Amino acid sequence: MMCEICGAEEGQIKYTKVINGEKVEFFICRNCAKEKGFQTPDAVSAEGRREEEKIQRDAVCAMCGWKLTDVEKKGKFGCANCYEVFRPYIRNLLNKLHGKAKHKGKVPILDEKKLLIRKRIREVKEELDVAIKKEQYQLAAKLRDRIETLSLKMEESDE
Amino acid sequence: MNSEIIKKMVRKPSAWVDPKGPFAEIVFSSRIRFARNIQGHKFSISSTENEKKILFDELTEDITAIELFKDGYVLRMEDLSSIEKEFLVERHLVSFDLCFESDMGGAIIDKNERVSIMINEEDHLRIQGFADGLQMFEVFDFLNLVDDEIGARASYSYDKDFGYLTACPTNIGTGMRASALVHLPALVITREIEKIIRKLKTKRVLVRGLYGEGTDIKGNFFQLSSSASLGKSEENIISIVTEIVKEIVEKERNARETLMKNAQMQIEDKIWRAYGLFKYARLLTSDEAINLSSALRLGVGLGVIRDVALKQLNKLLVYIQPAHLQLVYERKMDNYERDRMRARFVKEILSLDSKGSNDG
Ligand SMILES: [Zn+2]
Ligand SMILES: [Zn+2]
Repeated sequence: MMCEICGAEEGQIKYTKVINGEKVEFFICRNCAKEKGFQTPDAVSAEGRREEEKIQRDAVCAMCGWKLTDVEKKGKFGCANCYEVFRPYIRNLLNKLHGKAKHKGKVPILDEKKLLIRKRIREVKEELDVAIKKEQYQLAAKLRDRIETLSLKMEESDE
Repeated sequence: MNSEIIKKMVRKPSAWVDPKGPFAEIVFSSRIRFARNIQGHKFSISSTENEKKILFDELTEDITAIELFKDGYVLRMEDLSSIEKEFLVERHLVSFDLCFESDMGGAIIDKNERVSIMINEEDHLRIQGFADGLQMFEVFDFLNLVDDEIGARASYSYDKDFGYLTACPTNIGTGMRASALVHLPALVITREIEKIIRKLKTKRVLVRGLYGEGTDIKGNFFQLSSSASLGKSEENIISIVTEIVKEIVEKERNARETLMKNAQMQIEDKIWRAYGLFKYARLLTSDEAINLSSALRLGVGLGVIRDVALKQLNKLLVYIQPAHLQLVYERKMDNYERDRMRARFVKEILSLDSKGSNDG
Protein backbone atom coordinates (compact mmCIF):
# COMPACT_ATOMS: atom_id res chain seq x y z
CA MET A 1 0.00 0.00 0.00
CA MET A 2 1.23 3.51 -0.80
CA CYS A 3 1.62 6.16 1.91
CA GLU A 4 -1.72 7.74 2.72
CA ILE A 5 -0.20 11.16 3.19
CA CYS A 6 2.14 11.67 0.27
CA GLY A 7 1.20 8.74 -1.92
CA ALA A 8 4.72 8.66 -3.27
CA GLU A 9 6.37 6.06 -1.04
CA GLU A 10 5.46 2.66 0.31
CA GLY A 11 3.34 3.05 3.48
CA GLN A 12 5.28 0.72 5.72
CA ILE A 13 4.19 2.04 9.09
CA LYS A 14 0.70 1.72 10.50
CA TYR A 15 -0.05 4.78 12.55
CA THR A 16 -3.11 4.93 14.78
CA LYS A 17 -4.59 8.24 15.86
CA VAL A 18 -7.65 8.92 17.98
CA ILE A 19 -9.86 11.49 16.21
CA ASN A 20 -13.10 12.50 17.99
CA GLY A 21 -12.91 9.43 20.16
CA GLU A 22 -12.53 7.15 17.17
CA LYS A 23 -9.45 5.17 16.26
CA VAL A 24 -8.31 5.94 12.73
CA GLU A 25 -5.54 3.97 11.07
CA PHE A 26 -3.12 5.42 8.54
CA PHE A 27 -0.43 3.70 6.55
CA ILE A 28 2.37 6.17 6.16
CA CYS A 29 5.96 6.24 5.00
CA ARG A 30 9.06 7.03 6.99
CA ASN A 31 9.38 10.56 5.55
CA CYS A 32 5.84 11.52 6.43
CA ALA A 33 6.27 10.06 9.89
CA LYS A 34 9.14 12.50 10.32
CA GLU A 35 7.12 15.47 9.07
CA LYS A 36 4.29 14.57 11.39
CA GLY A 37 6.65 15.40 14.22
CA PHE A 38 8.29 12.05 14.64
CA GLN A 39 12.05 11.91 14.48
CA THR A 40 13.64 9.67 11.91
CA PRO A 41 15.46 6.62 13.18
CA ASP A 42 18.67 8.18 11.90
CA ALA A 43 18.58 10.87 14.57
CA VAL A 44 21.42 10.38 17.03
CA SER A 45 20.76 12.77 19.92
CA ALA A 46 19.55 11.32 23.21
CA GLU A 47 16.22 13.02 22.67
CA GLY A 48 16.11 11.71 19.13
CA ARG A 49 16.75 8.24 20.39
CA ARG A 50 13.89 8.49 22.88
CA GLU A 51 11.61 9.72 20.10
CA GLU A 52 12.81 6.92 17.88
CA GLU A 53 12.10 4.46 20.66
CA LYS A 54 8.58 5.90 20.89
CA ILE A 55 7.99 5.56 17.14
CA GLN A 56 9.12 1.96 17.33
CA ARG A 57 6.84 1.28 20.30
CA ASP A 58 3.78 2.76 18.57
CA ALA A 59 4.51 1.43 15.11
CA VAL A 60 2.52 -1.43 13.67
CA CYS A 61 3.78 -3.30 10.63
CA ALA A 62 1.37 -2.55 7.79
CA MET A 63 1.86 -5.95 6.21
CA CYS A 64 1.54 -8.42 9.08
CA GLY A 65 0.03 -6.27 11.84
CA TRP A 66 2.76 -7.01 14.37
CA LYS A 67 3.98 -4.55 16.97
CA LEU A 68 7.37 -4.47 18.59
CA THR A 69 5.91 -6.29 21.58
CA ASP A 70 4.99 -9.23 19.28
CA VAL A 71 8.52 -9.32 17.93
CA GLU A 72 9.97 -9.27 21.44
CA LYS A 73 7.59 -11.91 22.74
CA LYS A 74 8.15 -14.38 19.90
CA GLY A 75 11.77 -13.62 19.09
CA LYS A 76 10.77 -13.70 15.42
CA PHE A 77 9.47 -11.31 12.78
CA GLY A 78 6.06 -11.48 11.15
CA CYS A 79 7.14 -10.58 7.65
CA ALA A 80 9.94 -9.04 5.59
CA ASN A 81 8.40 -5.57 5.98
CA CYS A 82 8.95 -5.78 9.75
CA TYR A 83 12.65 -5.41 8.98
CA GLU A 84 11.84 -1.94 7.57
CA VAL A 85 9.42 -0.85 10.27
CA PHE A 86 11.58 -1.94 13.20
CA ARG A 87 14.91 -1.28 11.54
CA PRO A 88 16.66 0.53 14.42
CA TYR A 89 15.54 -2.15 16.88
CA ILE A 90 16.79 -4.85 14.53
CA ARG A 91 20.15 -3.15 14.03
CA ASN A 92 20.59 -3.20 17.77
CA LEU A 93 19.56 -6.82 18.08
CA LEU A 94 21.83 -7.91 15.24
CA ASN A 95 24.75 -6.03 16.76
CA LYS A 96 24.29 -8.19 19.83
CA LEU A 97 23.84 -11.42 17.85
CA HIS A 98 26.35 -11.03 15.06
CA GLY A 99 28.49 -8.00 15.94
CA LYS A 100 28.46 -4.89 13.78
CA ALA A 101 28.28 -6.92 10.63
CA LYS A 102 26.70 -6.36 7.25
CA HIS A 103 25.72 -9.05 4.80
CA LYS A 104 28.57 -10.45 2.76
CA GLY A 105 27.79 -13.19 0.35
CA LYS A 106 25.20 -14.18 -2.15
CA VAL A 107 22.93 -11.66 -3.83
CA PRO A 108 19.76 -13.14 -5.26
CA ILE A 109 19.32 -13.30 -8.98
CA LEU A 110 16.10 -11.61 -9.95
CA ASP A 111 15.77 -12.59 -13.57
CA GLU A 112 16.41 -15.40 -15.99
CA LYS A 113 18.95 -13.44 -17.99
CA LYS A 114 21.27 -13.15 -15.00
CA LEU A 115 20.68 -16.79 -14.17
CA LEU A 116 22.01 -17.73 -17.59
CA ILE A 117 25.11 -15.56 -17.15
CA ARG A 118 25.83 -17.06 -13.73
CA LYS A 119 25.42 -20.56 -15.15
CA ARG A 120 27.80 -19.71 -17.99
CA ILE A 121 30.35 -18.33 -15.49
CA ARG A 122 30.22 -21.63 -13.62
CA GLU A 123 30.77 -23.63 -16.79
CA VAL A 124 33.75 -21.52 -17.80
CA LYS A 125 35.20 -21.83 -14.28
CA GLU A 126 35.02 -25.60 -14.61
CA GLU A 127 36.75 -25.42 -18.00
CA LEU A 128 39.37 -23.21 -16.35
CA ASP A 129 40.03 -25.80 -13.63
CA VAL A 130 40.54 -28.48 -16.28
CA ALA A 131 42.84 -26.24 -18.32
CA ILE A 132 45.00 -25.49 -15.28
CA LYS A 133 45.21 -29.16 -14.37
CA LYS A 134 46.34 -29.96 -17.92
CA GLU A 135 48.79 -27.05 -17.77
CA GLN A 136 47.17 -25.39 -20.80
CA TYR A 137 48.06 -21.90 -19.67
CA GLN A 138 47.19 -20.04 -22.86
CA LEU A 139 43.71 -21.47 -22.81
CA ALA A 140 43.48 -20.70 -19.09
CA ALA A 141 44.31 -17.05 -19.72
CA LYS A 142 41.61 -16.86 -22.38
CA LEU A 143 39.08 -18.46 -20.05
CA ARG A 144 39.97 -15.98 -17.30
CA ASP A 145 39.23 -13.09 -19.68
CA ARG A 146 35.97 -14.72 -20.58
CA ILE A 147 34.97 -14.93 -16.90
CA GLU A 148 35.82 -11.27 -16.45
CA THR A 149 33.67 -10.24 -19.42
CA LEU A 150 30.79 -12.32 -18.11
CA SER A 151 31.12 -10.83 -14.63
CA LEU A 152 30.98 -7.32 -16.12
CA LYS A 153 27.85 -8.26 -18.04
CA MET A 154 26.36 -9.48 -14.78
CA GLU A 155 27.02 -6.13 -13.10
CA GLU A 156 25.66 -4.17 -16.08
CA SER A 157 22.33 -5.91 -15.83
CA ASP A 158 22.14 -4.70 -12.22
CA GLU A 159 21.20 -1.24 -13.44
CA MET B 1 -0.41 -40.80 -4.67
CA ASN B 2 1.59 -39.65 -1.64
CA SER B 3 1.73 -43.10 -0.06
CA GLU B 4 2.93 -44.55 -3.37
CA ILE B 5 5.82 -42.10 -3.24
CA ILE B 6 6.63 -43.03 0.34
CA LYS B 7 6.56 -46.74 -0.55
CA LYS B 8 9.04 -46.07 -3.33
CA MET B 9 11.30 -44.15 -0.93
CA VAL B 10 11.15 -46.93 1.68
CA ARG B 11 12.50 -49.42 -0.86
CA LYS B 12 15.45 -47.21 -1.78
CA PRO B 13 17.83 -45.56 0.72
CA SER B 14 18.94 -41.97 0.05
CA ALA B 15 21.86 -41.81 -2.39
CA TRP B 16 24.22 -40.44 0.28
CA VAL B 17 23.86 -43.57 2.41
CA ASP B 18 26.48 -45.06 0.07
CA PRO B 19 29.74 -43.70 1.50
CA LYS B 20 32.11 -42.61 -1.26
CA GLY B 21 33.07 -39.16 -0.02
CA PRO B 22 36.29 -38.26 1.79
CA PHE B 23 36.67 -39.30 5.46
CA ALA B 24 33.47 -41.39 5.20
CA GLU B 25 34.64 -43.72 7.99
CA ILE B 26 34.33 -40.79 10.41
CA VAL B 27 32.09 -38.24 8.65
CA PHE B 28 28.65 -39.75 8.11
CA SER B 29 27.18 -36.87 6.13
CA SER B 30 27.50 -33.22 5.11
CA ARG B 31 24.48 -30.98 5.02
CA ILE B 32 23.78 -27.41 3.94
CA ARG B 33 20.57 -25.45 4.12
CA PHE B 34 19.41 -22.06 2.91
CA ALA B 35 16.49 -20.23 4.54
CA ARG B 36 14.54 -18.15 2.02
CA ASN B 37 11.34 -16.10 1.98
CA ILE B 38 9.29 -14.80 -0.90
CA GLN B 39 8.50 -11.10 -1.43
CA GLY B 40 4.92 -10.00 -0.91
CA HIS B 41 4.05 -12.88 1.45
CA LYS B 42 3.95 -12.73 5.23
CA PHE B 43 6.23 -15.18 7.03
CA SER B 44 4.61 -18.49 7.96
CA ILE B 45 4.29 -17.48 11.61
CA SER B 46 1.82 -14.69 10.78
CA SER B 47 0.09 -16.29 7.77
CA THR B 48 -3.31 -17.95 7.69
CA GLU B 49 -3.65 -21.54 6.48
CA ASN B 50 -5.23 -20.23 3.30
CA GLU B 51 -2.36 -17.85 2.59
CA LYS B 52 0.04 -20.73 3.12
CA LYS B 53 -1.91 -22.88 0.69
CA ILE B 54 -1.75 -20.20 -2.01
CA LEU B 55 2.00 -19.81 -1.52
CA PHE B 56 2.49 -23.59 -1.51
CA ASP B 57 0.80 -23.91 -4.90
CA GLU B 58 2.78 -21.02 -6.38
CA LEU B 59 6.10 -22.37 -5.16
CA THR B 60 5.35 -25.92 -6.22
CA GLU B 61 4.68 -24.70 -9.74
CA ASP B 62 7.98 -22.76 -9.79
CA ILE B 63 10.08 -25.52 -8.29
CA THR B 64 8.73 -28.46 -10.25
CA ALA B 65 9.60 -26.55 -13.44
CA ILE B 66 13.28 -26.98 -12.55
CA GLU B 67 14.97 -29.88 -14.34
CA LEU B 68 16.17 -31.61 -11.14
CA PHE B 69 12.65 -31.90 -9.74
CA LYS B 70 10.81 -32.90 -12.91
CA ASP B 71 10.92 -36.55 -11.86
CA GLY B 72 11.09 -35.76 -8.14
CA TYR B 73 8.56 -36.09 -5.34
CA VAL B 74 6.01 -33.49 -4.21
CA LEU B 75 4.64 -34.24 -0.75
CA ARG B 76 1.89 -32.39 1.08
CA MET B 77 1.74 -32.85 4.84
CA GLU B 78 -2.06 -32.92 4.85
CA ASP B 79 -1.98 -36.05 2.67
CA LEU B 80 0.48 -38.00 4.85
CA SER B 81 -0.17 -40.24 7.83
CA SER B 82 1.80 -39.49 10.98
CA ILE B 83 3.98 -42.55 10.43
CA GLU B 84 4.82 -41.37 6.92
CA LYS B 85 5.73 -37.95 8.31
CA GLU B 86 7.98 -39.53 10.92
CA PHE B 87 9.63 -41.54 8.15
CA LEU B 88 10.62 -38.29 6.40
CA VAL B 89 11.91 -36.83 9.67
CA GLU B 90 13.98 -39.96 10.30
CA ARG B 91 15.62 -39.44 6.90
CA HIS B 92 16.41 -35.83 7.84
CA LEU B 93 14.48 -34.79 4.72
CA VAL B 94 12.04 -32.65 6.67
CA SER B 95 11.87 -31.18 10.16
CA PHE B 96 9.54 -32.20 12.94
CA ASP B 97 8.00 -28.71 12.96
CA LEU B 98 7.17 -28.91 9.26
CA CYS B 99 5.20 -32.09 9.88
CA PHE B 100 3.25 -31.19 12.92
CA GLU B 101 2.86 -27.37 13.03
CA SER B 102 0.62 -26.89 10.02
CA ASP B 103 -1.24 -28.93 7.39
CA MET B 104 -0.10 -26.59 4.65
CA GLY B 105 3.55 -27.57 4.87
CA GLY B 106 5.17 -29.79 2.31
CA ALA B 107 8.38 -30.84 0.65
CA ILE B 108 9.78 -31.25 -2.83
CA ILE B 109 12.55 -33.83 -3.04
CA ASP B 110 14.67 -34.97 -5.97
CA LYS B 111 14.57 -38.68 -6.64
CA ASN B 112 18.08 -39.35 -5.30
CA GLU B 113 17.20 -37.43 -2.10
CA ARG B 114 20.19 -35.13 -2.43
CA VAL B 115 18.02 -32.03 -2.29
CA SER B 116 14.94 -31.55 -0.15
CA ILE B 117 13.01 -28.28 -0.17
CA MET B 118 10.67 -27.69 2.72
CA ILE B 119 7.81 -25.30 2.00
CA ASN B 120 6.02 -23.29 4.71
CA GLU B 121 8.41 -24.21 7.49
CA GLU B 122 9.51 -21.35 9.75
CA ASP B 123 10.67 -19.75 6.51
CA HIS B 124 8.81 -20.08 3.22
CA LEU B 125 11.63 -22.23 1.90
CA ARG B 126 14.27 -24.31 3.57
CA ILE B 127 16.46 -25.61 0.75
CA GLN B 128 18.65 -28.47 1.97
CA GLY B 129 21.36 -30.52 0.32
CA PHE B 130 23.04 -33.72 1.51
CA ALA B 131 26.15 -35.74 0.68
CA ASP B 132 28.11 -38.62 2.17
CA GLY B 133 31.46 -37.95 3.83
CA LEU B 134 32.98 -34.48 4.10
CA GLN B 135 31.76 -32.73 0.94
CA MET B 136 30.53 -29.29 2.01
CA PHE B 137 31.70 -27.47 -1.10
CA GLU B 138 30.25 -30.13 -3.38
CA VAL B 139 26.88 -29.76 -1.68
CA PHE B 140 27.14 -25.98 -1.83
CA ASP B 141 27.80 -26.12 -5.58
CA PHE B 142 24.68 -28.04 -6.48
CA LEU B 143 22.51 -26.34 -3.88
CA ASN B 144 23.62 -22.90 -5.05
CA LEU B 145 22.36 -23.71 -8.53
CA VAL B 146 19.00 -24.85 -7.20
CA ASP B 147 18.80 -21.66 -5.13
CA ASP B 148 19.51 -19.51 -8.22
CA GLU B 149 16.90 -21.37 -10.24
CA ILE B 150 14.23 -20.83 -7.62
CA GLY B 151 15.29 -17.22 -7.00
CA ALA B 152 14.89 -16.38 -10.68
CA ARG B 153 11.31 -17.68 -10.64
CA ALA B 154 10.13 -16.51 -7.21
CA SER B 155 11.57 -13.25 -5.86
CA TYR B 156 13.37 -13.63 -2.55
CA SER B 157 13.06 -11.12 0.30
CA TYR B 158 16.47 -9.52 0.54
CA ASP B 159 18.05 -6.44 2.08
CA LYS B 160 21.41 -4.96 1.14
CA ASP B 161 22.59 -4.79 4.78
CA PHE B 162 20.72 -7.69 6.32
CA GLY B 163 21.00 -10.14 3.42
CA TYR B 164 18.28 -12.76 3.09
CA LEU B 165 15.41 -11.86 5.41
CA THR B 166 14.32 -14.70 7.66
CA ALA B 167 11.65 -15.18 10.31
CA CYS B 168 14.29 -15.66 13.00
CA PRO B 169 17.03 -12.99 13.25
CA THR B 170 19.65 -15.67 13.96
CA ASN B 171 19.41 -16.87 10.34
CA ILE B 172 19.67 -13.49 8.67
CA GLY B 173 22.47 -12.76 6.21
CA THR B 174 23.32 -15.79 4.13
CA GLY B 175 20.41 -17.75 5.63
CA MET B 176 22.83 -20.64 5.46
CA ARG B 177 23.78 -23.35 7.89
CA ALA B 178 26.51 -25.89 7.14
CA SER B 179 26.70 -29.03 9.23
CA ALA B 180 28.43 -32.38 9.39
CA LEU B 181 27.48 -35.54 11.26
CA VAL B 182 30.64 -37.10 12.68
CA HIS B 183 31.30 -40.35 14.53
CA LEU B 184 33.89 -39.95 17.32
CA PRO B 185 34.03 -43.11 19.45
CA ALA B 186 37.76 -42.94 20.23
CA LEU B 187 37.58 -39.32 21.37
CA VAL B 188 34.71 -40.32 23.65
CA ILE B 189 36.65 -43.23 25.13
CA THR B 190 39.75 -41.10 25.73
CA ARG B 191 37.49 -38.31 27.06
CA GLU B 192 39.18 -35.74 24.87
CA ILE B 193 35.75 -34.97 23.45
CA GLU B 194 34.75 -32.75 26.38
CA LYS B 195 37.67 -30.43 25.81
CA ILE B 196 36.98 -30.35 22.07
CA ILE B 197 33.31 -29.45 22.55
CA ARG B 198 34.23 -26.63 24.92
CA LYS B 199 36.64 -25.27 22.33
CA LEU B 200 34.07 -25.58 19.54
CA LYS B 201 31.64 -23.47 21.53
CA THR B 202 34.11 -20.61 21.67
CA LYS B 203 34.37 -20.87 17.89
CA ARG B 204 30.57 -20.59 17.66
CA VAL B 205 30.12 -24.09 16.31
CA LEU B 206 26.92 -25.77 17.52
CA VAL B 207 27.26 -29.33 18.79
CA ARG B 208 24.17 -31.52 18.88
CA GLY B 209 23.11 -35.16 18.87
CA LEU B 210 22.32 -37.60 16.08
CA TYR B 211 18.76 -36.48 15.49
CA GLY B 212 19.40 -32.74 15.56
CA GLU B 213 18.12 -29.94 17.72
CA GLY B 214 17.47 -30.82 21.34
CA THR B 215 18.54 -34.46 21.10
CA ASP B 216 21.17 -36.16 23.23
CA ILE B 217 24.38 -37.69 22.06
CA LYS B 218 23.77 -41.27 20.97
CA GLY B 219 26.15 -43.80 19.50
CA ASN B 220 29.05 -41.31 19.67
CA PHE B 221 27.52 -39.28 16.83
CA PHE B 222 27.89 -35.53 16.94
CA GLN B 223 26.33 -32.97 14.67
CA LEU B 224 28.53 -29.92 14.17
CA SER B 225 26.96 -26.80 12.63
CA SER B 226 27.90 -23.26 11.81
CA SER B 227 25.95 -20.65 13.75
CA ALA B 228 27.07 -17.34 12.26
CA SER B 229 25.19 -16.31 9.15
CA LEU B 230 25.81 -12.55 8.96
CA GLY B 231 29.05 -10.85 7.99
CA LYS B 232 30.69 -13.83 6.33
CA SER B 233 30.26 -15.17 2.81
CA GLU B 234 28.91 -18.66 2.19
CA GLU B 235 32.29 -19.91 0.97
CA ASN B 236 33.97 -18.46 4.04
CA ILE B 237 31.53 -20.14 6.44
CA ILE B 238 31.87 -23.46 4.62
CA SER B 239 35.64 -23.41 4.62
CA ILE B 240 35.68 -22.64 8.35
CA VAL B 241 33.38 -25.60 9.10
CA THR B 242 35.32 -27.86 6.73
CA GLU B 243 38.61 -27.00 8.42
CA ILE B 244 37.15 -27.63 11.87
CA VAL B 245 35.77 -31.02 10.79
CA LYS B 246 39.11 -31.97 9.24
CA GLU B 247 40.89 -31.10 12.47
CA ILE B 248 38.48 -33.26 14.45
CA VAL B 249 38.86 -36.16 12.00
CA GLU B 250 42.61 -35.93 12.52
CA LYS B 251 42.17 -35.98 16.30
CA GLU B 252 39.81 -38.96 16.12
CA ARG B 253 42.32 -40.84 13.95
CA ASN B 254 45.11 -40.12 16.43
CA ALA B 255 42.95 -41.24 19.34
CA ARG B 256 42.17 -44.49 17.52
CA GLU B 257 45.86 -45.10 16.97
CA THR B 258 46.61 -44.44 20.66
CA LEU B 259 43.84 -46.82 21.72
CA MET B 260 45.11 -49.58 19.47
CA LYS B 261 48.62 -49.07 20.81
CA ASN B 262 47.67 -49.06 24.50
CA ALA B 263 44.56 -51.20 24.73
CA GLN B 264 44.25 -53.23 21.56
CA MET B 265 42.84 -56.35 23.24
CA GLN B 266 40.19 -54.42 25.19
CA ILE B 267 39.10 -52.48 22.11
CA GLU B 268 38.94 -55.57 19.91
CA ASP B 269 37.02 -57.37 22.63
CA LYS B 270 34.49 -54.55 22.78
CA ILE B 271 34.06 -54.57 19.00
CA TRP B 272 33.68 -58.35 18.65
CA ARG B 273 31.23 -58.52 21.55
CA ALA B 274 29.12 -55.85 19.86
CA TYR B 275 29.26 -57.80 16.61
CA GLY B 276 28.16 -60.99 18.40
CA LEU B 277 25.26 -59.26 20.12
CA PHE B 278 24.20 -57.59 16.93
CA LYS B 279 24.21 -60.87 15.03
CA TYR B 280 22.48 -63.05 17.59
CA ALA B 281 20.21 -60.80 19.69
CA ARG B 282 16.51 -61.48 19.32
CA LEU B 283 15.32 -58.15 20.72
CA LEU B 284 17.03 -54.82 20.13
CA THR B 285 15.93 -51.45 21.44
CA SER B 286 16.73 -48.45 19.32
CA ASP B 287 19.36 -47.10 21.73
CA GLU B 288 21.04 -50.48 22.01
CA ALA B 289 21.16 -50.87 18.24
CA ILE B 290 22.66 -47.41 17.80
CA ASN B 291 25.35 -48.12 20.38
CA LEU B 292 26.20 -51.53 18.93
CA SER B 293 26.38 -50.10 15.43
CA SER B 294 28.77 -47.47 16.78
CA ALA B 295 31.17 -50.15 18.07
CA LEU B 296 30.86 -52.04 14.80
CA ARG B 297 31.55 -48.88 12.82
CA LEU B 298 34.72 -48.37 14.83
CA GLY B 299 35.65 -52.00 14.11
CA VAL B 300 35.21 -51.48 10.38
CA GLY B 301 37.20 -48.21 10.51
CA LEU B 302 40.06 -49.95 12.34
CA GLY B 303 40.05 -52.89 9.95
CA VAL B 304 39.22 -55.25 12.83
CA ILE B 305 36.00 -56.32 11.13
CA ARG B 306 36.34 -56.99 7.45
CA ASP B 307 33.10 -58.65 6.38
CA VAL B 308 30.87 -55.65 7.03
CA ALA B 309 30.86 -52.51 4.88
CA LEU B 310 30.16 -48.93 5.93
CA LYS B 311 27.29 -48.85 3.48
CA GLN B 312 25.54 -51.59 5.43
CA LEU B 313 26.05 -49.74 8.69
CA ASN B 314 24.81 -46.47 7.24
CA LYS B 315 21.70 -48.17 5.95
CA LEU B 316 21.22 -49.81 9.33
CA LEU B 317 21.39 -46.53 11.17
CA VAL B 318 18.59 -45.13 9.04
CA TYR B 319 16.35 -48.20 8.89
CA ILE B 320 16.37 -49.21 12.57
CA GLN B 321 14.28 -46.15 13.41
CA PRO B 322 10.61 -46.79 14.33
CA ALA B 323 8.84 -45.39 11.27
CA HIS B 324 11.29 -47.02 8.86
CA LEU B 325 10.80 -50.42 10.48
CA GLN B 326 7.03 -50.16 10.42
CA LEU B 327 6.97 -49.11 6.78
CA VAL B 328 9.47 -51.80 5.73
CA TYR B 329 7.36 -54.52 7.36
CA GLU B 330 4.14 -52.75 6.36
CA ARG B 331 2.38 -52.82 9.70
CA LYS B 332 1.92 -50.89 12.90
CA MET B 333 4.04 -52.22 15.77
CA ASP B 334 4.22 -51.67 19.50
CA ASN B 335 7.57 -51.31 21.30
CA TYR B 336 8.07 -55.02 21.83
CA GLU B 337 7.24 -55.86 18.23
CA ARG B 338 9.59 -53.15 16.99
CA ASP B 339 12.48 -54.47 19.08
CA ARG B 340 11.85 -57.93 17.63
CA MET B 341 11.70 -56.75 14.02
CA ARG B 342 14.68 -54.46 14.55
CA ALA B 343 16.81 -57.44 15.59
CA ARG B 344 15.56 -59.32 12.55
CA PHE B 345 16.30 -56.44 10.23
CA VAL B 346 19.84 -56.07 11.61
CA LYS B 347 20.49 -59.76 11.01
CA GLU B 348 19.22 -59.49 7.45
CA ILE B 349 21.48 -56.55 6.66
CA LEU B 350 24.56 -58.12 8.27
CA SER B 351 24.09 -61.42 6.45
CA LEU B 352 24.43 -59.70 3.09
CA ASP B 353 27.85 -59.69 1.53
CA SER B 354 30.00 -56.73 2.44
CA LYS B 355 29.71 -55.14 -0.98
CA GLY B 356 26.26 -54.32 0.31
CA SER B 357 24.91 -55.50 -3.01
CA ASN B 358 21.32 -55.20 -1.88
CA ASP B 359 19.69 -52.11 -3.18
CA GLY B 360 16.29 -53.36 -2.24
ZN1 LIG C 1 4.54 9.53 2.76
ZN1 LIG D 1 5.56 -7.41 9.43
